Amino acid sequence: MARSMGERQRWAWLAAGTSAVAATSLCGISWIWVLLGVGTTAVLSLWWDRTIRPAGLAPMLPHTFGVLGRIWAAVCAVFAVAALAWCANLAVRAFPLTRGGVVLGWTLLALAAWGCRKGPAACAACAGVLSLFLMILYGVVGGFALPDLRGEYLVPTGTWDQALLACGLSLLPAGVFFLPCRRRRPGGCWPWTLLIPLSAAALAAVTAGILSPELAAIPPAPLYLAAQSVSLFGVMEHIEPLLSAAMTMGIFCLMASLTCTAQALADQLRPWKWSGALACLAAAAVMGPVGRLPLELVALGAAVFFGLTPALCALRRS
Amino acid sequence: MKRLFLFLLAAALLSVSGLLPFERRDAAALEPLEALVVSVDGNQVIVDGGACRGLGVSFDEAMEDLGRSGQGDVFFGTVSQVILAEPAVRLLPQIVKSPSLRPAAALSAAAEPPDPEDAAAYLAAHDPGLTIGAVRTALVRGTPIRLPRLVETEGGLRLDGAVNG
Repeated sequence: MARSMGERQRWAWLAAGTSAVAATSLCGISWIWVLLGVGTTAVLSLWWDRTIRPAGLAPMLPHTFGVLGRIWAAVCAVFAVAALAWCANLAVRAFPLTRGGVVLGWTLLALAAWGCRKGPAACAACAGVLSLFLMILYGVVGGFALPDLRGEYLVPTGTWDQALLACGLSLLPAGVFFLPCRRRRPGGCWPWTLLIPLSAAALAAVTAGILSPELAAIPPAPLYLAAQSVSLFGVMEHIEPLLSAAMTMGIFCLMASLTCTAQALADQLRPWKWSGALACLAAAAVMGPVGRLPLELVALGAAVFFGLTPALCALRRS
Repeated sequence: MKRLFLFLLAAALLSVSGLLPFERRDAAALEPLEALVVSVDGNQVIVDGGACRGLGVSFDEAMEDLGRSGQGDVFFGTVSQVILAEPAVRLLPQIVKSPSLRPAAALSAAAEPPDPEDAAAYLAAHDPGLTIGAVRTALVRGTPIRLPRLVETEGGLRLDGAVNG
């Protein structure tokens, strides 16, 4: 039987994937709604961590819901491919000053396909190591940015529905719950439920604190724009490459989780070792049109397929 | 070992293929600019970086021309001062949205275009206090903007109306 990932690795994978969503899509939202939205996702993840079987959600679907479960698994797999294509466009956004960066998305898709062939345990181990680098990189960016923060820009703005957007988007990495995971101490990783939302809120706060809430709300890459403003002892610092590297690592972790999720779901219909690679190929093909989808639609899809599905399975099990 | 070799070979091929959208820059050929003086002459926008100048019908076109006009690889990432000579102040909305300029770069106005290097040296010691990011925020909020003015006197340059940070 193939080795499964451990609980801590799963949470590290969640954190790495959430960092990609937070850095690329949530920094335009006020920190309070990011904290609320991502915090809700973190609490839900803790619940699923305790209730979902070690075999993962994917085999639970047909086991719990029969034929309907297999159909739903197929629909979830299609969403995973669409989410993968959307994430490939995020890779382009990690380098906003370059043009024609679609090859960046393809490269990460190829790496995600390769990671999926190695298995979820290998991807989780990789994410575990990368999450440490992500903490260091974002910590450096945040530390450099602290002297440039303006207090008046940190006053919460926006409306509560932005918390729903943050919650939905931060559910994208929750595809890891479809994958098998060794369970030794259920709920023992609860500190991650504090670290993940606080880190996401800190990134949003840093962005708005440097640029102002109005400027931070202007797409496409407000955190990158904020990084361009950072100066240390009166000298402007070039920390954008650090940020691009951190975003790319996080996006790779997110794409690897979606590829493994697509493979695990496709295996419920017909096991085939190249399902993950096929998912990446399909994602590359639809990258263009999917990239134009509004954030709200992506968040809604993640909430339904990666939020409602584990919630229903967990409730059915209890 | 074989797979690692194949992976490294693929990475090297991708790097040299030119498909990745990154540009290589020789550090020795970089021509970093510290200050830009923007002025308008008739229908032409002039962006003066000291060692090189750019002309165009719009600010963005003038910046592109400036990028091509340098002897080396013109680098805008070090621009910390942007001085707008009358009547270039009307270009303010275009200038603050330029992706080549950092939001932390300081803005000031002048009646006549000063020498960029003299202005850069003076403004490095006398911070105007108003940044591109702050002006862009003010434009979004619809609040009035007052640019600090750089005045040429017999004794040298003087800054009036600096914004205290």
